[in-house]
Amino acid sequence: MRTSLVALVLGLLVPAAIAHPVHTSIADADYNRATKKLEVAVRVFADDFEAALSAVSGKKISLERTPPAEFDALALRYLRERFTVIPTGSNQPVSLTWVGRELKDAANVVWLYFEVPLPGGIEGARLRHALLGEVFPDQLNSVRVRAGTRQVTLLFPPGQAERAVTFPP
Amino acid sequence: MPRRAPLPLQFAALLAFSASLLAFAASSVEKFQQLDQLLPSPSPQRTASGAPGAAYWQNRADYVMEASLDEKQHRLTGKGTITYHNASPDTLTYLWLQLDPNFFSHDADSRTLAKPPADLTKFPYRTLEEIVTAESYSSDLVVSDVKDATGRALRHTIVKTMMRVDLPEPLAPGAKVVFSLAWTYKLNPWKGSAFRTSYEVLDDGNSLYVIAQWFPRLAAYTDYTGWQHKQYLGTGEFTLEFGDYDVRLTVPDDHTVASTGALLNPDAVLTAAQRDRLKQAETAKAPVFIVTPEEAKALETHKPSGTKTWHFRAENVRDFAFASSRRFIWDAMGAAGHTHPPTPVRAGGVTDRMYRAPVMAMSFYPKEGMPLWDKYSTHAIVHTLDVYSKFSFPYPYPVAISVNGAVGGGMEYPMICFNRPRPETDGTYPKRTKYGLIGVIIHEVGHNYFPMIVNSDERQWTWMDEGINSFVQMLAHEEWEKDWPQSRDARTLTAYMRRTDRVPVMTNSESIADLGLNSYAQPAVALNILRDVVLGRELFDHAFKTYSQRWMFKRPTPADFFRTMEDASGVDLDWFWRGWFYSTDRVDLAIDQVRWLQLDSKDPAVEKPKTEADKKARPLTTTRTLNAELPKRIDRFPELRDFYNSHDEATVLPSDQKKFEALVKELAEAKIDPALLRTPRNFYLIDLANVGGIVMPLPLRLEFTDGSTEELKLGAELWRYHTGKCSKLIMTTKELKSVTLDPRDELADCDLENNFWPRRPVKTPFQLFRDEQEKNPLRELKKPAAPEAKK
Repeated sequence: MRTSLVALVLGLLVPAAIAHPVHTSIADADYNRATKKLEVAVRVFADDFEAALSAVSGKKISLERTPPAEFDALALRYLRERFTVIPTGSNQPVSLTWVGRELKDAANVVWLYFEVPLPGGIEGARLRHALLGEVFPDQLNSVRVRAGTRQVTLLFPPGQAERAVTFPP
Repeated sequence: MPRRAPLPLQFAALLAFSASLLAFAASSVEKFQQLDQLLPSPSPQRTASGAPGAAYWQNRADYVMEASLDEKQHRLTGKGTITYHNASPDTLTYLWLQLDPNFFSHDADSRTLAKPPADLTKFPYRTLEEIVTAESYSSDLVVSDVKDATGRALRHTIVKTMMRVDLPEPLAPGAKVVFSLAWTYKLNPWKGSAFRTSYEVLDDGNSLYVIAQWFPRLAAYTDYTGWQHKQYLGTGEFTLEFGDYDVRLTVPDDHTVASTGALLNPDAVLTAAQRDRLKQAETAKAPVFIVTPEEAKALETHKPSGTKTWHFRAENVRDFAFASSRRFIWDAMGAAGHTHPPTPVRAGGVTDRMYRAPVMAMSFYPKEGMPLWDKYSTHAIVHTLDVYSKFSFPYPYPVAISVNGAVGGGMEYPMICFNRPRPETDGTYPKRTKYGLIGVIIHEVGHNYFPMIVNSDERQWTWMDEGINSFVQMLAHEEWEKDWPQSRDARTLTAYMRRTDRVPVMTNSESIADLGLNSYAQPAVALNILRDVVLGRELFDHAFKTYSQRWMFKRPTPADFFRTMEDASGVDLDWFWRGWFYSTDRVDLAIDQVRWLQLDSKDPAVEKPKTEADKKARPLTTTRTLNAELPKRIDRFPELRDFYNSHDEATVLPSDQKKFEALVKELAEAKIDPALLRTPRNFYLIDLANVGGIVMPLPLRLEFTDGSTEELKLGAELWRYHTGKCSKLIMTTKELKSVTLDPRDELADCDLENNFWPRRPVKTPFQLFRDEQEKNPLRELKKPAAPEAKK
């Protein structure tokens, strides 16, 4: 069977630094028992994220110049496509809700904040985290998931976008 | 608050207490063990103190080369004579050379063994570009005329990015061999094959070349690994021998060339005005244009009428790189306080009158690099020399150059480096580009010290150059401006350290997937912790400088670094290297509990009322509270009362008193002051746990009920009997309210919640952001409208 192959068009890319490229993101995902929501904070490189949004929207997206409402809408659309949570016993990803973003410009970092309603809890849910993997083949994403005192850090290396949340005993 | 527990004073009890500590101690000291079997044995070349030994040797390669750049074909053609000096005690029958241009040959491992994109249905334009370029572009390196000094052809075998040259006669220890060769290859284009070098075709059609790893280079032959003939797969950069280079570069006659080494023929390649400006720049307080933006602009549509040959000489370098373009703007400034050769420090401030030229800091960039490059590049170079020299040794070369070129981010070579960041096309730039540029220039110029001069083996251990250099880079950031936005620090590293799939920092370069965190950030943060938390600046700086100076122009291995840092600081750090460099453990220290103990004075007149008071102080249960009102039988029949109904449990009985007097007598006989029993102190036993595995010192902040605080810094040696658990006894007149472990959050502790007694929740980044969001509207509503900002 032939699968169609899509090349993404990018704006000018300025890689982060130094002789070895660095493509990583980190995240904290904390299950809030009171609200029954997973509270997620993802830290990505600002220029990497701009490149990804530019690719999906087909035009140059910039943290400085794109109107905030447009940027946020694009960011949310992108996150919904590439960061999904499938609750235990379900096949349907839960739609996440946007909370906000925060640019640490000098450090070339942007934090993305969003929530995922999970009435059934986080344990056993499946996380799909494919942020930036389509732009950087060596992208390494990781998430620390916590529920109360239990925690696990999940890694999403290239080619392994999905992981189930299981806490070590 | 813990319950007070009486502290037994009898000697037997005390002894029992320490014996129990020893009992569980035996089970786990492994993380505190000496490195012993992990380190190579000291040798006559490398001493147990970490210094080069009496029999230390390294080979040497001197080059005399000519190369010409064909701008139409983007081809480089060169020939050269190499003199190889065998200082080793071994007889060599062949030599290995690195052929790095083969990195871009059709059948290169870098291409055939490349990882495919993770998601084949969607992948970057850049990756597609690389795959397509791999089909159309091959470096097509051709090596020819490999001959010895007498013109005899030498047999040679190319093994991908390496070449073996067989010697007609064995090369004896102490002997040298001279041979020559010629080569040619197609340079790699920025589009589709940008790596550490490239040519970039600018918008107006002119090319900008940043050229390195461009000639057959003698591989290192060492006492620890023999020939370093690891293939060039891309991550392990290179390791070579020191030598002198005499290089003539022939380029189109309107090009400006930036290169490793000193320019020997300025009269032939620079105008009189440019030579004057260079002289002026030597003592200038700000960068001076040698080629002005206007002069560079005038060349945009210029056609060369021929070629010019630039002649450079570089001494005692481990490689040679250059850049060439007619589009270069060139600025320069003498680095105040840095001379070539370095001015010796003499006792009493006396020095000779020898003229020493200032070290020239120079930047080369196309107009696309302005307005950032003209403002920051040369200043960043001088700043790097200032800070790095302070921590290591005086900069020993005549020039330090930063070139704006199309490479991954930045790449370093002796005296010269290539750096990528540019402003936007409209001449503005976001903050991150500015700090990114200054940061990368400091980093790449800093590589002159590590590994260009302290010549560690990049094909083996990336951390030895990237980690150590990133550490000094952080020190340089701190001296550039207050609150520099450090991207590598203990707090941001925790997200990486929490991962359980990491590989040790000591892993070979090619097997580390996340180099930026593993080889740059982790060792840089570790060394900063070593400096400011473990050793203190005085001890660390002395040890670090000792390492730098011992191994300047020599080839250290990790063991030489570890041993020198211990030897010169006088502190056993095996536990530190073990945790941070050899293991995949993380830092997670915890306060398990705090026990409050008070002395049992054994005096019944003191202790019995206290025990009674404690008993009474206990809260009443609901049952007892409700039952209190019930009429009691003994109230109705008072005759039922006897001695016990009115006896005060606190009453001191004669037997109690007698027992106490006996004890006092016993103490007096043992010459122990009975007053000790009434020491008016609180004793707190803080039980600590090492959850993450890395043994660390224990900075503690104690807060007392009277509002005062006290800080303690307990050495990591507290863990020496048991690296999983330890305890600290605190004696104080005050009452303890709370204890914080790592109060400044500077140990890269991966879980802060267990660092507090009593436990305290730590807000997540999400909660902090949400709190801030919630606060903001209120603040804005209450604040009077801000006046319009004047434009």
